[in-house]
Amino acid sequence: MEITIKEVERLADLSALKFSDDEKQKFIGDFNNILEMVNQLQKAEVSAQNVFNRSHKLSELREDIAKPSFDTELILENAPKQRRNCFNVPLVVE
Amino acid sequence: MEMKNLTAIQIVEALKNKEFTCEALVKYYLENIEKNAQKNAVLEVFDDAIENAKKIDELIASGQELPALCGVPIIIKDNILYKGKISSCASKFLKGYKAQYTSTVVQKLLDAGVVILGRANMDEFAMGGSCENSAFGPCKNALDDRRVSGGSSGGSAVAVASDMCAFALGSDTGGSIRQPASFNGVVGIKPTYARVSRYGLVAYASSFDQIGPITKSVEDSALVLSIIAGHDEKDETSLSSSVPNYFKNLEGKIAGLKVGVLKETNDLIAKTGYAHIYDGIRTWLESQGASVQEFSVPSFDLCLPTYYTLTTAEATSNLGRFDGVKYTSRAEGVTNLDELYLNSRSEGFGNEVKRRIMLGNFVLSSGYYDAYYMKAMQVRQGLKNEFKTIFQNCDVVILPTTFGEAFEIGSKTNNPVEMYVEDMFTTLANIIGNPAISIPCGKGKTGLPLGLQIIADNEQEQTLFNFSKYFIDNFKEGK
Repeated sequence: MEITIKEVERLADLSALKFSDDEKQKFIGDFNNILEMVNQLQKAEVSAQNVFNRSHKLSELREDIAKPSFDTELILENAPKQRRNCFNVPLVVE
Repeated sequence: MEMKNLTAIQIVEALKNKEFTCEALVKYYLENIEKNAQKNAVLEVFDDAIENAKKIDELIASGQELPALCGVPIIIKDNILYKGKISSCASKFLKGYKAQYTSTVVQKLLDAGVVILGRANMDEFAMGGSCENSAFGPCKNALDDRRVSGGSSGGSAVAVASDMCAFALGSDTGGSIRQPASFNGVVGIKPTYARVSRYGLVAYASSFDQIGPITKSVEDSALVLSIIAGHDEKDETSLSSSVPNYFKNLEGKIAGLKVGVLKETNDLIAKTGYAHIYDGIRTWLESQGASVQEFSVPSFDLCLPTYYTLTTAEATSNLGRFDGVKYTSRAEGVTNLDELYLNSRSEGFGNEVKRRIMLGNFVLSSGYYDAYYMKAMQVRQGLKNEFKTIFQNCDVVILPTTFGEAFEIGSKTNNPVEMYVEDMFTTLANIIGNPAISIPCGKGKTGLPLGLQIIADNEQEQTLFNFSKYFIDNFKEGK
């Protein structure tokens, strides 16, 4: 299976990433090499089993008691833009 | 007393006996960091290191009982949070990100009395095996400036090997502690998955990531792991079983041990050009009273595709949080929210990170999920089952850590797959979750170090330490 430009664009969209045309071309080459490696999985003989079983015991869950958490100011410290104690982003409503 | 190349245990003793002050020791390391600046191992030296050392000296002078790592200067990987300090994950995206809280491992080490000198270079978001993916330039090998440090915890390993600190913390998702430890001739352990809390470790692939120490000795490794391991209510996955005192229980021992080797690694070892070294180790182990048995794991060659399928799937989700809203970086001149996400991420992430996010979305996307993600999950479960059986029949499995000594900078950067193949021997332990250690076991043709990797059953770190201690104390290359 060879990946196409259209497929790269679909993945870029899912990834919230954008690439120039040159980058897309370079990406196709790299990605096809990577897929060739990953495609070895297709030869795997596997049995259907519950793969989402956790291999180790679940720890004790905490009681659901509210405790002080981070304060807003601290959390906003790293925000590139903030306003009135909130993260500030461009207008969403159209 | 000479300060050169001291282990953490030697430092604790020396400070207690007032051989030198913690302040003098910290100054010695800071000078060494400065002298080795071209290695690019340390991204930042924290400005309060000397001040904190003085506090330790006061504590020592007070005559109070001292904590286990009192006055030991360390360096932490740049993806482990320490409140108020920058944790950039060696990414342009997080260049100015100041940790809002302290990770559990760092807190435990601070409580044990360490002085944190600074943060170590790494591959961006821990994605890479050479430290060349750092947005702040590659870290160079401790023994040869033309060669890579290994990765992703390259800066941590070089800092330890070049005596810029007593020990360092790294993180290991597919070999990121063991491979650089091997390339720089030091000791690196990836503990059992969930043995050490991941609270405050910036996530790459959550079901693989594990923090561990890179040290100058097995004794230090055992001591540090005893301190950082344990259940943490802030990391629900962390194991609730009690932590043995690996250091107190340390007993160099190989006689009577059942050592496993994997049939499927024989051809790979032949390709390394160092089969004589690894065969020599097998023979030597038998001469020391261990028995060596070969096991077959037919799906061993599926480790790499399994690893790259599952870790990228997890990474694509974990890195979704870097969106230009919460964490320091935002693209300029955007007019709407979509553009904000798109431009911030495209400008902030490096190429390897972008590749892995894209691959992760590929293996998870409609039409491919069953063929890739599910299949890889099934292979992972199969490998776990196979090794459960293997460890019922042997105590440890040994294999090389890498294909050879550290490669030249730039020699593998044009082909991502060539770089991925470097992880051939190390991803297994992360896939099955078992603890694995890398210890120096000889030298390659270039005179640079080679590593021996030892894997044990889940939570059997003590077996790894006991094996490693005996090996380092008794194995003489070429004998």
